[in-house]
Amino acid sequence: MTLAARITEQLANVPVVGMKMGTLVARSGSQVLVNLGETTALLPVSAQQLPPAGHPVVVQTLDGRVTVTGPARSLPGRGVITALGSPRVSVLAWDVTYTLPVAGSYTPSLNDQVSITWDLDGGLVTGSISAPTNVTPPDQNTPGPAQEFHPPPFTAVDTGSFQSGRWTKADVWASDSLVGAWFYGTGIADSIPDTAAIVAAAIYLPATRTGGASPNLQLHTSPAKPSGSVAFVGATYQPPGRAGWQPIPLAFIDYLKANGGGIGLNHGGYNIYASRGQDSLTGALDITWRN
Amino acid sequence: MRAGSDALKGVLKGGGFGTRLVVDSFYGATRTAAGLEDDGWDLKWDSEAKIKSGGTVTIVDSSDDGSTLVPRSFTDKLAVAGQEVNVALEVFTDGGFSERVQLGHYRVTAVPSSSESVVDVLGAPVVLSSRVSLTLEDRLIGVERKGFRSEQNPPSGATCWGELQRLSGLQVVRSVADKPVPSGTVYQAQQGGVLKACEEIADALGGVPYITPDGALSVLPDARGTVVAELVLGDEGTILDLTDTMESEGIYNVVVGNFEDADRNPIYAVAQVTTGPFAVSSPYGEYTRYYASDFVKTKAAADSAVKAILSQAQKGQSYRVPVQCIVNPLIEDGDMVSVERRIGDPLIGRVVSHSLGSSNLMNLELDVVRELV
Repeated sequence: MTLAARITEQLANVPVVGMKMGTLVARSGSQVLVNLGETTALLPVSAQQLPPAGHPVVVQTLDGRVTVTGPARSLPGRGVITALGSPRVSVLAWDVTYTLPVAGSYTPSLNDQVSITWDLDGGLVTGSISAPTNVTPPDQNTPGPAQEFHPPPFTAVDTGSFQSGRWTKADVWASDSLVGAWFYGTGIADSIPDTAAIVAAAIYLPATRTGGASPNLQLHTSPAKPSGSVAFVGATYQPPGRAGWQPIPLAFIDYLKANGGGIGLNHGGYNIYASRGQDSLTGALDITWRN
Repeated sequence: MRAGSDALKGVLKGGGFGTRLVVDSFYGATRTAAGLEDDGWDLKWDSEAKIKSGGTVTIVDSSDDGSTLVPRSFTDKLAVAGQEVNVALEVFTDGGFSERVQLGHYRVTAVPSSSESVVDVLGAPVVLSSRVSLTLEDRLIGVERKGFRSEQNPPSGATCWGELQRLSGLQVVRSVADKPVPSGTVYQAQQGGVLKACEEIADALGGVPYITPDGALSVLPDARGTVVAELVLGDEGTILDLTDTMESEGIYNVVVGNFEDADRNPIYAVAQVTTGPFAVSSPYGEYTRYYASDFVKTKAAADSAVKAILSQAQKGQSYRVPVQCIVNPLIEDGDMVSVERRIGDPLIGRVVSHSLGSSNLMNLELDVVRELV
């Protein structure tokens, strides 16, 4: 290990402020017993209130001093009596049942709404209260409209053209005897959630030759170049232009986001597009979606 | 490994090839210039840095129409308002082989210097060529600069990869299995908060966030893979600074984890080594490491988290070896490589950082493991 790495590691171990949870066992004088991992420790308290035994407390290390700073969960001030008993009653508050003593001035009765006060000796039921009134809370901040994503284009990871049983060319051909394909790996399906609404989509077509009919763009099922030809799926599509950024049907991306795969040229004219080795932007997909 | 064909791998192994940098400039999806020439470049990748990759490229462009590349407005091609460059390395041989290796997609974050050479043609000044130095940083800089506007929770049912995508806004490539994000997570509105959140999520996935050569956000796993390439030292290459040293620092044999569940009840977990030379009962004694993570919310997750930390510490004591060797642009951070030595067994290590530049040598730092048992 280098000196720099050692210094970094030792700095990372300097406890400036540390915090962990413990389980309260009992109060002992002005200190408390707390279960920590495999041991029980007697610790000073800087809290104004403590939860009943068995509940979690916050144990804080600040500048080398370890103190219990209070209950790990906020303590409820109101509850409902669910069972009577002497000297303690069961009170359900914030979905937790506490067993608590009762103030001398109050005679508990089942289903009473009661007030609870907490101090370092735990909780005390102080008396019944009227049914809490309904206050109107402020409106919550409404989440904004669905977030729109428009990352830099998804580039193809591989390209090729298939003819007579093998991949004969690295660039992407659409001709009578060749089909071409762009492969995108898993990036599109990894990035775009299945629930996303596609807003816009375009493909980059760096033409090195154009002629004859328009190329037939079609989806295929392969994320990477297979040994055989690609399997085309869905309808073919002829873009309005043959070079540069051209729009593609949003349904193409709906397929790619859910299934992976890529886009190919299922014949059409005599059109050739640069390979990934010639132009890293070839077949790049510029996609905007909302989720 | 960066992507490359088998033919390219053969050429790189055989030697006797040349390299040329290919720089394209982008603004969003629009390529504003292609095939820019360079006059010196230096790019570095460091898997332990916050922004994992960056460097400098000096663009030299001879102008045939009197135009200049020197950025004067923030909307110019090489300005710093979100303009990016794509950098690829073309490997070629005299035999006619040529292939481009994608190195990275970088944000231009500064233009430290720029100049033009101007001649007078019929009394009017015309730009002959322009020379622009660019400071480049990878797309994590955009994530680092972004912050949460106010504290917030992940949406219900969020998973780590979905959150990495949603928070960064980038494309992602899922390199490891997905995990749920604990529902109690709070993202903090602070400087660099989005990158911090991404780093924590990547840590929960077992790695660090980085940008792939294609510009997608991914996670580089901490786990070591298998050897993917052999490096050639060549006549000029050297393994610098390799000595047989031993170090006990960092070989923990006890990992103590303190976590809390969603109701803040404490969860305690411990893992320890019980066999071999580093057993807690051996003369080595105990060497304790503490661990905590907000992503651990159950006892089972706590047990597996401390076990994972312990197995990393126990996998081996590692030492760093700087290596200078013939350039292989397919090597990237996280790859396991072997380096042939003139004497002795090949050196096997994980690439922690590497740099490429105009020279035909590359510099790597390897994390080499000495097996413990």
